[in-house]
Amino acid sequence: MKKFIIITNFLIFVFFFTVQAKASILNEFIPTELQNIDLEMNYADFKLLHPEAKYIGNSSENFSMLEITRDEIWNGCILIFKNEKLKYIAVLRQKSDDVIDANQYFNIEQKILPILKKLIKVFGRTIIKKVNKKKDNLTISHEPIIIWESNKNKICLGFTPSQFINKVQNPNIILAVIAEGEDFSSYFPELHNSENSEIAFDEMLNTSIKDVLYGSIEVKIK
Amino acid sequence: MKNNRLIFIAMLLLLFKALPVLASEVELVSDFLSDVKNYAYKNQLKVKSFVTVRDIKNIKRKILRQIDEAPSLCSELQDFTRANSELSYLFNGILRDLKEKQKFELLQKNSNKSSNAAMAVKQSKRPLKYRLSMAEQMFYNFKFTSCFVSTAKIFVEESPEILKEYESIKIEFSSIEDIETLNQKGPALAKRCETLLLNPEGGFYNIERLENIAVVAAAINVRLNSDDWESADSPVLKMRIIDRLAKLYSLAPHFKHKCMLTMTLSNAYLNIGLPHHALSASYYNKKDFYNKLADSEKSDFIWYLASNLALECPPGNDNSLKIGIECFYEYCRFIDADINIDENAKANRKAEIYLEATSVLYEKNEKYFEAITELDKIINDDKVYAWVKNNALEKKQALQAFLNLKINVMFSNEFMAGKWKVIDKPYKYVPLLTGQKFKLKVELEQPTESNIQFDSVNWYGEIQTSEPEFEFSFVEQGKKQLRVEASLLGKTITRSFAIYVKNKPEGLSDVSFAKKYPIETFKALSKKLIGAQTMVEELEPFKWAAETYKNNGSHNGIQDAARHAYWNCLLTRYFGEDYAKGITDGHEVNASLELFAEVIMDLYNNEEGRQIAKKHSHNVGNDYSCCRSAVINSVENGSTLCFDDLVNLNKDALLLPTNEK
Repeated sequence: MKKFIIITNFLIFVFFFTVQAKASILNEFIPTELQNIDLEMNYADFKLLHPEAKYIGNSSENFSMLEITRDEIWNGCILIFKNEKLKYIAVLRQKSDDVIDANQYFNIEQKILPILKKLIKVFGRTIIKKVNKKKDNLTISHEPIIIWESNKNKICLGFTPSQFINKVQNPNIILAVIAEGEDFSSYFPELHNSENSEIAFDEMLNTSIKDVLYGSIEVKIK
Repeated sequence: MKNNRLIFIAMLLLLFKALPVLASEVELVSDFLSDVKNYAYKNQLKVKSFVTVRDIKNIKRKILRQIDEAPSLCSELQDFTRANSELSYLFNGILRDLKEKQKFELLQKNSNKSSNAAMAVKQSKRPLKYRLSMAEQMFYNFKFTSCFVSTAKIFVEESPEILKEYESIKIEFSSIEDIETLNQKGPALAKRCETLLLNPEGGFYNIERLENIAVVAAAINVRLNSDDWESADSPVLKMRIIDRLAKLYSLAPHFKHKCMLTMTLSNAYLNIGLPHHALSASYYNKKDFYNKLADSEKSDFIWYLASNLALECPPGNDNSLKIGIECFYEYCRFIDADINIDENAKANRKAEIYLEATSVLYEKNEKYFEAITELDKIINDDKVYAWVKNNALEKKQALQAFLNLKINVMFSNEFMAGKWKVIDKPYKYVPLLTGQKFKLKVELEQPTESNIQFDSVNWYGEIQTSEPEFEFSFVEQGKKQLRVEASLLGKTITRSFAIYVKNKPEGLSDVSFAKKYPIETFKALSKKLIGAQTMVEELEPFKWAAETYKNNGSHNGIQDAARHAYWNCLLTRYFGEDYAKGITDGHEVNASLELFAEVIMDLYNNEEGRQIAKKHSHNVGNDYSCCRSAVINSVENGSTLCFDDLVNLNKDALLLPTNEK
């Protein structure tokens, strides 16, 4: 009985610790200036907290953005409200007009790998792979997108692969959390169905990312 | 005695033989002179109708044919002109043509005989299928000047060598029967044509031959790059030949070539039914060669512009009217400067031009006041014959009666509560959504005491009916050019106008579209290219348009048009056409149906802005100046549209180009 109580307590401790750890690790991705924002928060509350936000739409359908100035990686945040509730939040890194060396700015080793490792640590290696197709010879919209499904949310990591950084208009890294019940594909550009424009997911990843993503037998590709 | 009798009988017999010959010669001369007089008479009458002008051409052809059959008649004509010096100006053209014809025949004599025979043999052997569909078709169908044979004989100064080369090219081209042979022989043949055309010595002057060679060269070049061998007569191919002719024009080293190629180009435009293009091409090209021409050539060229091109232009184009009038005046200056014509003849010749040309042009374009001013010039000129004055007076009275009438094309839609609005300018567009019903009618506005009715009304274009009033809707979007011809008092009045049909915007709203492209939207928000309705005044397109077009129609006016064009230009430049279209057209998705005119205007200007960005995609700078200057140009040249009336917004609005405000 005593053993049973000890084991139960241990399991309860582990459970709470894991949840706590997940929450705190998510917070690690989001800059401190945004940590007062939660999914499902009200649009009115958000407006009170961040009157400086620029937006398009109204409280029933709204796209807001915040510029992040005090973070090493992220320089922007996107929030999408539906029926007054926050359904999508994303932090992003994107090139501003005065950045000359885009490759250096989006250095995959430095910027993506640490985020990816943290995400794998929290959510495991079970991912849904999603890759957008080529729009035309020049434009590719944030591919690849790697998606984790947690109990409640979907976490999406999207980035422009290094080989395309100079070809696309808006190279970026984007880490998005999408509320429960929301279809993630509605938050990304539609796939283009033109022939011969498909890009294989694996081809878009460089070796170091593949190592991190597939470096274990635990990898499960849905 | 017996001998004398025999001689007498022989003489009688000879006389009997010779008499009919002599009689027929006398008859021939008398017929000829009667044609000559008829020609002079009809020439003076030709002010009355265009039918007479056709008669004159026929009589002229008859005169030339008679001279061709009996060359001695040429001296009869010369005698006639000497005896009637006041009419001599009417025959200058014929006499000059005859002189040049003789010269031409002399030059041609040695070079033509053998080649013509060879060609005849070759043609008869050709399979029928090819005879009509290939090289021959190119050669004969593309002879744009076949109706201008008389003008074609203006300059005949080619050397026998050039004529020989010309004939040789003609034969060789006609012998090409299939694409393989064309591939084989075409390039060399085209090269020979171009060498002949671009001869720096300026040796090739006859317009018909020059045109044949230019067309052969152009046709070969176009054909060698075309997969569709069977469509020799297609308008697309003709347009490509025209492009090629324009290129030849730019290469032509000699000003006379430029002059001839200009006429060739204009005739080509006429051939495909684009008289306004024909007139503009000649008018704007003339700066390259006109001053270098001799006075007689200048007068011929300007007459060609005025009578062959300007009179062919349908009404409704102010620029063509302006050019036409300018050319007729210019031609009158040549008449004034001609020392071989006495003052009375000058006055009458000018009266003829004012009556036939300028007043016709003005009348055709319904500029009745201007037409009356021209007629007054004739009426008040003492030197003009009385019968010409009477004609002018009659015409003036008819026009004055006509001035009291107004023919209106009107439209009405479901939101106008049964009211009608006049489409008062041909360049105004009636805005319409696909499937939306609208009514059109043509109405006569007249003094209460008169009761004039239309003899007939006919609508042309995408709607063809003879009802004066009807209801209609379009299923496909686009610009629909329409024309109504109303006949009354022996005149046919034409009204042209256009309807701009757009699909009702459907699909994602701007916000829904924005969230599908979060990165682009983030950047567009950060650059203040899009934003909430409440902070619209802070957005770049709004600020720039408000500053540049201050107090100039911020809602549905010029400022509004410029704002939408600039907005789309910037969005396309930064994020591509699809994103720009998605956001800006999505902005109109939820607009109320009553605001359809405003929506159509915005969609039109959005599209214009995207086109501007595409045209300037070479300019990769990140500043806004490229879009700004391009939009200002578009507004100035009328490529953007705004409402014609900013007071009665929407329901009965017409869209008009921004340069017409």
